[in-house]
Amino acid sequence: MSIEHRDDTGARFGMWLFLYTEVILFSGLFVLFAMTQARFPEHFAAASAGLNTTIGTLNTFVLLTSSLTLSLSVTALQLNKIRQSLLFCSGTVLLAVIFLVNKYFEWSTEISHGIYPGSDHLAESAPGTAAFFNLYFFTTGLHGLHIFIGIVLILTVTGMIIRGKVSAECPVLLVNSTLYWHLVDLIWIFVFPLFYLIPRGFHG
Amino acid sequence: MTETTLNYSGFYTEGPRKGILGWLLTTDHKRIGILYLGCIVVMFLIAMVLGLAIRLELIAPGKTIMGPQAYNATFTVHGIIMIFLFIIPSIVAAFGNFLLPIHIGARDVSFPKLNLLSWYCYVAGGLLAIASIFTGGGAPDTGWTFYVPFSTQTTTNVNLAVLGAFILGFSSILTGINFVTTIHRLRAKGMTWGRLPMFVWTLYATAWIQILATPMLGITLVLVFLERIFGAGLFDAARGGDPILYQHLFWIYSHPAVYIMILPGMGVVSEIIPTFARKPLFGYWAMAISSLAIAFAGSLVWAHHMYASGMSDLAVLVFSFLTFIVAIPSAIKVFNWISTLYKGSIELAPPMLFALAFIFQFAIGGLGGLALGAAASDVHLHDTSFVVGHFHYTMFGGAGFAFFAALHFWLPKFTGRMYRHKPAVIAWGLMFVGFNVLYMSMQAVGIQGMPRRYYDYLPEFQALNLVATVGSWILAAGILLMFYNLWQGIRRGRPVGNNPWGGATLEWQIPSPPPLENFGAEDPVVTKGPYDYKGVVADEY
Amino acid sequence: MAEEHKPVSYRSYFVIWLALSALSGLNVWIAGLAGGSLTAWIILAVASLQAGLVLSVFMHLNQETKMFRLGILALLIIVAVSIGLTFVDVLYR
Repeated sequence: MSIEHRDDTGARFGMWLFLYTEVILFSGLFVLFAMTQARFPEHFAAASAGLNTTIGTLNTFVLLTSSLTLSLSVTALQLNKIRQSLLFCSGTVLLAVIFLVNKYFEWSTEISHGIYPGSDHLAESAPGTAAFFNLYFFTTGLHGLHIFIGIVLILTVTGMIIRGKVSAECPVLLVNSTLYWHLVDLIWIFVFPLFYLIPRGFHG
Repeated sequence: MTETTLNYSGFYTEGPRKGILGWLLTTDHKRIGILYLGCIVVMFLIAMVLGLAIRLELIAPGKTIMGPQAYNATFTVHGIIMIFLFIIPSIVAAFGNFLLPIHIGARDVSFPKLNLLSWYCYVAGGLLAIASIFTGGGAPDTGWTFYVPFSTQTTTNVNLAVLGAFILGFSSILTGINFVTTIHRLRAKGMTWGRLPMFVWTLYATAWIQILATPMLGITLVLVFLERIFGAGLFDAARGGDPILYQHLFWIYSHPAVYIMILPGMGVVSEIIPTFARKPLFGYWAMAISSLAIAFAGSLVWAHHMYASGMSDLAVLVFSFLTFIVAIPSAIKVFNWISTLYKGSIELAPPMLFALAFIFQFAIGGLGGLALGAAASDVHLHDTSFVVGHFHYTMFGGAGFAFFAALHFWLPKFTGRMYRHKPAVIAWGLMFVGFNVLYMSMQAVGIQGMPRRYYDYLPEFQALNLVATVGSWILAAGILLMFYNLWQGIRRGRPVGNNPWGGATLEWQIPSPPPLENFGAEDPVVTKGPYDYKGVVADEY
Repeated sequence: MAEEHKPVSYRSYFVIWLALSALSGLNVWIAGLAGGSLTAWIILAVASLQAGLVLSVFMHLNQETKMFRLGILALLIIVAVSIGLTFVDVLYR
């Protein structure tokens, strides 16, 4: 008689429920974005044109690839190819770090131009411009925080694969970390066009 | 009262660890429920004292016991504690944790460790919220709603309070995730969806709101926090922001949150009424579906808190219409409780009295809600003490009384001992009278035009305010008597058998208090519905 | 156990990854062509298509039971309602 029975489907379902909360968390920012975009389309267009689409596109590609490698790692683990699985996990972490490094350069360029939440430059610029960049920093900042948490999560699971605690028989922790990582990717799939692509089409 | 000892103590003495660590590191859903219950009662008493202080200040015009700043801080902290630390977790986290797995025939929730984590989040959030009173620039004075622009500008310690509320939200989310997964995955053999006790249905609907609404509060509070740090001006109209958007985001969570508060209370009442009427719950599926309908419709109506905020007329129209829709499933519930009572064999035991008071007060609160939901009358009533009276009728007269009903109904199951009935009935009477005197006066004086949230008022409002304050004393006396009586019952009440009330749900078929892992060596197999009283006899005590 | 997932082949993952990358490229290209709300809706539709691919293949939703899909449906409704009803205020002020 023990309550320590395993329910992998239950664990995955719980993870999905948690992911719903993440979506709602970001959708709060999306609500703000949509409303402000509707009010200041021209300011948003000008501000969005100031973002670096090249880095943005590159980062989209990096993140999509990291999702691929982590998915491959799950298949490798399920097929009991532990070495491959570990390799793919490490690749994912590497790509995630690249994403953050790119983000760092992107942010520091903007900050060096005096663009950051609460800066004097933004206080003097058009109201929609300030709102755009505030939302940009808050959204990508929150997303970056999630990338960081994801890195920690994947490293932890990698350690558990090495120690045999996560294995072909018991893959659910890796599967759940993968779900989390894909969600972070999924959010970026919307953040990228919302901030980098769509607003610049509204020149009025 | 005779001193009797229980020769059996169930899960209180069983478990892998003994002593205090056995509680602080427990993953047993029953112990976590008890931990929650203890904290919640303490929080309630603290906030009740603050509430009494508010009423005392309002006993006469002008400064009575505190000035404006202290008054603002008092009602803010009263609200924060009552809402985030008492009502939201009250029935869900305390009774839900204890009873949900037993009700569905499971040995624990799906994620026991997460469950413990959610309690620690509750404690951490609670400590931060309380610390905000004594540190920084003084207790927050924004009201529990943290409305911008004031909340981003006040020098009081809003930072710590919103951080605390954020962590409390996390606790609530974890409980919600746990409950939805548990209900889907851990039902015993034969426990079909149609055999779930109504309490479980309401917890299920509640858990979905906790999952899908609470993160919106999280992001809103984070934004207030960031605004205070950076001064970015996202909600500052002068800098391209929009303060009304804050209100949208806030109420997208906080209106569904009132259903987090009331739905479990409705579940409690749906358990108590059939048990003491000895009749199956009338309209089982209507009750189950209306719980989900309340959860869904409750997510569509948030902006009815904002008719006077300056949002568009079209939005006022749409939200006013949607608001009336929520009344339908709520009314279905009230009618079904009444129909359950009809021609029942009614026993007016203490839990039943509290449940009946719930129906009465919730109905009054609900009707007041229609007056506020209609845009035309709301413009007159907005920000008056009618609103305060209204939400105390639903939240305290509803959810609060359901919590007390649950205490009287299930404490014998939790502890294995029965409290004395006569003091319980007297306490109930005091509370019922005090409650209605207090909040009916507030509603009346609100209709006359007394605004809320001021420490002072015009002399013509004095008579009703005096009556309200006297009502608050009667209410408080009743509450203290109730808790004293329950405490005495826990300490040295008469031992009860498995089933003191003659209930038909699973918890009444196992010992009181339940053993570790709830059911014996074999998992239970369910063969009948939760309100099938045929052959169920109450144990003598 | 019937509810266990079958491993997805490396090949299918690669195909999905190629599709996702191509769609992102497509979005960048569309954004460069023209502006306005029609373009915005097309871009969002493409992003939603990407989201569908990630959900169903990368996140194994196509192997999960109905319970999982119902949850997503509830989530999407709530998000749509939050944004939609807020627009009822902001657009008509």
